[in-house]
This record gives sequence, structure tokens and C-alpha cells, in this order.
Amino acid sequence: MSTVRNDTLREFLLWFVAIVFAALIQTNWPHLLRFQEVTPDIIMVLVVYFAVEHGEERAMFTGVIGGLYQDVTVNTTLGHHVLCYVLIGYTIGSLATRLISEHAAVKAGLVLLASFCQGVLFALIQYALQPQRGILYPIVTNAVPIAFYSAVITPVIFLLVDRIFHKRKVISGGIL
Amino acid sequence: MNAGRIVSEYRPLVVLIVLSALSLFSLATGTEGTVIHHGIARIVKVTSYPFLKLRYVTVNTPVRIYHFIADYNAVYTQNKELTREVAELKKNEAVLDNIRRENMRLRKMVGFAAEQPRFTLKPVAILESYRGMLHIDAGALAGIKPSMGVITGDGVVGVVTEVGDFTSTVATLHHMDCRIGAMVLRNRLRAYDGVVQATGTDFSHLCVMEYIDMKYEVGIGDIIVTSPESQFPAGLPIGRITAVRSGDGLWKRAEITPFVDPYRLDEVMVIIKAAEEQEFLSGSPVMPLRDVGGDGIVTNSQSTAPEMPDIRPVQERYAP
Repeated sequence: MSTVRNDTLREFLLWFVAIVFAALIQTNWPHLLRFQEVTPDIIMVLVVYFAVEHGEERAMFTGVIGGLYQDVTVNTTLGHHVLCYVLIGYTIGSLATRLISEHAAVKAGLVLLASFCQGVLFALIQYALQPQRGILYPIVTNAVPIAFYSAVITPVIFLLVDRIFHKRKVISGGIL
Repeated sequence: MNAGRIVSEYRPLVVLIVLSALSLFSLATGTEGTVIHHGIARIVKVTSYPFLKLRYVTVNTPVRIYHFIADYNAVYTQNKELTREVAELKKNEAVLDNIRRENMRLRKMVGFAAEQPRFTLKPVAILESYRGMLHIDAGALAGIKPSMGVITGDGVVGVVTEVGDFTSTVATLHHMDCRIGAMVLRNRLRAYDGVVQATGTDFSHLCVMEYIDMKYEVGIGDIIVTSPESQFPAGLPIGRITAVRSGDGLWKRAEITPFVDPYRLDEVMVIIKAAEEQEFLSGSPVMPLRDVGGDGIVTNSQSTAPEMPDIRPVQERYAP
């Protein structure tokens, strides 16, 4: 029983570190993956991953941590990114129970859809807070390219994260 | 069905509602300046610091290593150039420092000369200093004569003892040939012989005032100045009494540390002429009338007071 608890704690810490690491890459080292002034939304990819693999609750908390880091770094009002990620995480988590395909393209498509919805949601909230900034322009210039780019790198990130988490499960004999 | 069971059954939905409500509340109230925002921002910055440091190290260290290897020759050459440049700058700094010190000394001398209008002073460079004697860069052709006093802004240096055509020799207070009439400034006390002279040893930079009457009061710290009987104008500082020794007889002996160290001098001033006190007080003689601008108007910047009456006897006035 204690072994299971230790493994759970370890997995929880691993999950937390992974989220923080991804958020830090996203916020402090954006030029690492920048291509044509577009940066992928790694947090979104992780939210989708945990929604598919662990359910909507884990996905929502992933969005909370990643969103807080982004809110602080970008200096937006607290909750701006968080709300988007939480809503998307819950939705994807609910949909994932009906997702029967393990094909990478399906997951990439899911990320594309989620990232685009997150971009639209983000633009809507921004429009509600600051109507003078418009709504169409941010969607076209930000949401669409970021969604595509995030979808492109999805297989790689899924593979990496899957190696980190799933491999441990196999080694531990499927206890978790 | 109780509330706990409902929460556990619809836990994801409850979490969603709570998180969404908190986010919406934060968005609605705008918590950018609140304690919560500052706290979260602080947590984020603290947790991100190791990552940023690690990123800095991992990015910059390979770059540095690459540059160190790739640019080794350039760095080596630059190092040599910089070393040479540093040496050049140090040399220049030493020269500038010397000039600055010389400038300060000259300013001090000029200031002293300006403060003493009754003296006609000649600034002279020191060519050599050896065992209490100075060779100065001025001789008879420059108007130097034996027994002239030599001073600086700090006090008396010594007396000119030998004069050549271009150089002169000065016996300082460290040399036995230098004897200067002196007195205690506080009470104008003179010794029996009235002079201050060197101790006579090469190892002591002190000079002494011998033959002070036992009954007179002399203390450590008293300042010794030139007396009116000396070849110097009265009142120039010589030194300070550092010890008073009583002998077996009727006399005391005061040891004096001179104010001026002759071994640390580069320039001195020779007193060419010292105006008498009365002459100094009454001013210089009246200048003759002169024609200014050629228009026949004569001016005289001196006093226009009427002449004093001639009080000589008639016989003397009209004597052949």
C-alpha cells in the first residue's frame, strides 16, 4: 500500500515538474521553438495529453498551473489563460472517453481543435476585457498559426511524455 | 444522497465549476495589484529562477568554450596588447602623478610667495641632496649670495653656505654648518647662544636648542621660529620641540623636529631680499611721475598727500 502511495506521489511530482518545465519553456524560452514568429502552445498539448490519458481533472489542473505561469509572465489578469485551459481540458477530457483511436494524427487533430478553441476563447475574453483590440485579428494572426504549429509538434511531445509516464507504468507492473 | 457523495460522483464537474468561478472572479475584479497576484507572481519567479539560471549556464558555457577555443589566438594577441597597454598606461599614470605632485608643490610655493610680499623669493630646483647638504640650481649669476636663507612654504630649510657661478650649496637643519637664530614662539625665549643647530649625527634628523636656562619654561610641542637676530626674517617656522632634557648644570636642552624634511624636497625658495619691517609697513618708495598715453597728462598712482614740512635747522638747509 505504501509502495503504491510512494509511486503515486512520485508520479504526481513528476507530473508537476513536467508542467512547470513546459510552462517555463513556453514563457521564458519561446524562441527555442519559434518558427516564422509562431510559437507552439506546449501547455495546450500537455493539457490534451493528460485529458486523453488521465481524464479531465488532471487536464484541468495542468491548465491551472500552466495558465498561472503564463498569466504571470505575460502580465495578463490572473485567470485569463487559466479559464481557457480549464474549459478546454474539461471538454477534451470528456470527449476523450469516446476517443477510440490511438493514431497520432487523431491526437494531433484533437490538439489542433483544442488549441484553436483555446485561441478563440482567449480572444473572446480579451475582447470582453478590452473591446478596442478587436476579435478577428487575434484569431487570424495568433490562434490559427499556433493551433497548426501545436498540432505539428504534438506527436513528438506525446511521444516524450508517454515515454516518461507510460514507461514507468510498464516497469511498475501496471500497478498504477 | 448526501453532498459528499454528489461531489465525489461529479468531482470533475465540481472542479470545473470551482476553477471557472475563481477565474471569472479574478477576471471580473482584476487582481493585478492584489496580494494574491503578487504571491503567485513571486512563486512563479522563484520556481523559474533555477530554470533560467540553468538555461543561462547551458547556453552560455558552450558558447564561451567555443569562443575560447576558436578565438584563442585572437584572445592571446589581445591579451598581449592589453598587457602592453596597461604598462603604457601605468607609465603615463606615474608621469601624470609626478606632474600633479609637482603642480601642487609649485602652487603651494606660489601661494606662499604671494602671501609674503615683504620677501623677494627665488624659486630654485634642487639638483642633489646628500647628508644634509643641498645643491641648488642657481648661483652667483642668479643673484645668490652666501648666508642667504632658504625656505619652503612649510618653514625654514637652511642657509646658503657656498655659491658657485651656476649652483650653490645649502646647509640644511640636518647639517652642522647650519646655525639659525631662533626663539620659542610662545614666549620669545632664546637660548644662551640664541641658535638652533643640527645634532651632529647623520642618523638623527633632529636639531637642538642648547643652553636654555633652567629657570625658563619650555615644553614639548612648543613651536620654534626664527628670531629677529637671525639672517632670516623673524617668525618663520623652524620646527616643534619633541623633547626637553635637563643636564647636570644650569642648562636645559630642547630637541626639535624640523617642519621641513630636506630629503623630500624638489624645489626651494631662496630669500633674495627681505624688506625691513618698517619698510614693509610703510610701503614701497614713491614712484616718479610718468606721462601716460603721451598726451601730457602725468599721473601718479602713489599717495597724493602733501609733503611733510622740512624741519631741518636753517643753517643746515642753506649750508653750502
